Amino acid sequence: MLRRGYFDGMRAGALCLIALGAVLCGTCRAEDGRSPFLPDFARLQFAGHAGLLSVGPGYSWWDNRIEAGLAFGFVPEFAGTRNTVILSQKNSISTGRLRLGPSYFLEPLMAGFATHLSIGKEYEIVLPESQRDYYWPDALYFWMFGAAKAGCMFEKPTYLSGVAAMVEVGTINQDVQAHTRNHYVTLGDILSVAISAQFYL
Amino acid sequence: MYNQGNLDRLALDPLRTPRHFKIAVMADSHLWYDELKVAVGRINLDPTIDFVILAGDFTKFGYADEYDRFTDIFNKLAAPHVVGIGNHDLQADGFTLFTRVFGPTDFSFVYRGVEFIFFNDNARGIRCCIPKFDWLETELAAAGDTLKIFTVSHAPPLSDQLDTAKSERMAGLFAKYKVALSIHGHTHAFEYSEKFRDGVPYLVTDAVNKRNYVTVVLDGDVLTVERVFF
Repeated sequence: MLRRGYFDGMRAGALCLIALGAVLCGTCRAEDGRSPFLPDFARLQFAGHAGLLSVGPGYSWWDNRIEAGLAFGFVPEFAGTRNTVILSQKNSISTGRLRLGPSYFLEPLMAGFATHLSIGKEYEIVLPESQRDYYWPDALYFWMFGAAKAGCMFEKPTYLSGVAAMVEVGTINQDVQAHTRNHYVTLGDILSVAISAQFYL
Repeated sequence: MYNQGNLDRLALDPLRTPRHFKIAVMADSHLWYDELKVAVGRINLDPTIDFVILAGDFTKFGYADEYDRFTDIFNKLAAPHVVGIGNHDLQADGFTLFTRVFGPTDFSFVYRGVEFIFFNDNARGIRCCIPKFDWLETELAAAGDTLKIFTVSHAPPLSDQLDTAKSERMAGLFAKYKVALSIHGHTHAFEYSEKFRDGVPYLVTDAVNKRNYVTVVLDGDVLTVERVFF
């Protein structure tokens, strides 16, 4: 059962995350002389519960070990029940970047989570108060994942300073619930793969 | 469509003896797939069951993966089986999914002298048009004097899905047309009673995690309701 306090806490948590992001954006990133609002990368993703395809900008900190991004995703009717837009906010942390020669790199172990919101009249983000003890807000779900990334930073950057490919294996909170309650729903049943291309700006 | 395929199997029933059958009834399997799988296995051990009804809420979030998991298990029933819609199945884009997978939410069929009327009564937060009372009354009236009537809808009257006015209207129709049994789930708490003392028996099943289903035997005019634990 979900209680009202849970939703209040969730809202407070979301506000804290936004505030923290703004502080990081305006302080840490000001050191390199670029505008703190210019993104560090753009990402194009396939699958991962963010839409059949999703695209959006992101920022990185701590020698690219921490990344946070926004994405606009789309599920066409043939891949779902109807054309659906999904907005996502995704964060990841990497254990470290291995240099493979002067240009290439590998990040073998990353972990992260994303918050997805399905947009449309069929989906509710904020439930009426009378339903908060009863339903999950069906627009909202969380993607938890492990990932690996390999890429190349250009020696003479032009429009792009580098590119990378990332593979994620993850699941969403609703599937975790189904798995923890049932032997019938195996880990293999709830895991899915996402692949993405990252363009460093 | 899932339900129509099963109704086609029922229509092939070689035994046309009116008012003699045994059905298994359950509801609210939600995320309890392990228990649902055991229930299906237990029902398959009873060859006298003519068909199986699930009165809604086979999902928790109304997601497509839940529809897939449920149908994968429920399709293993040896007997024909018919699925009604519950309030959780309507979440997200559940209505579209239900109609795509199972067919209409409101439908009826006749089996051995009994008209079964399935309808969507998940009306919480919906002011208009649920249940479709005009359609329901037309179906009830169509049974005439020769057919008995069993209704199947997820939420029982006076539950959180139906306000007092809708509950009274529904119960009034059932009494007017002498419904022989009104089948529900939703509350997760077994109940078999003449709720409004108007001659209409209401059957509410436990949720599947309570590890039981209900068998309903109609033998002429005699109705026997029994819980089967597994």
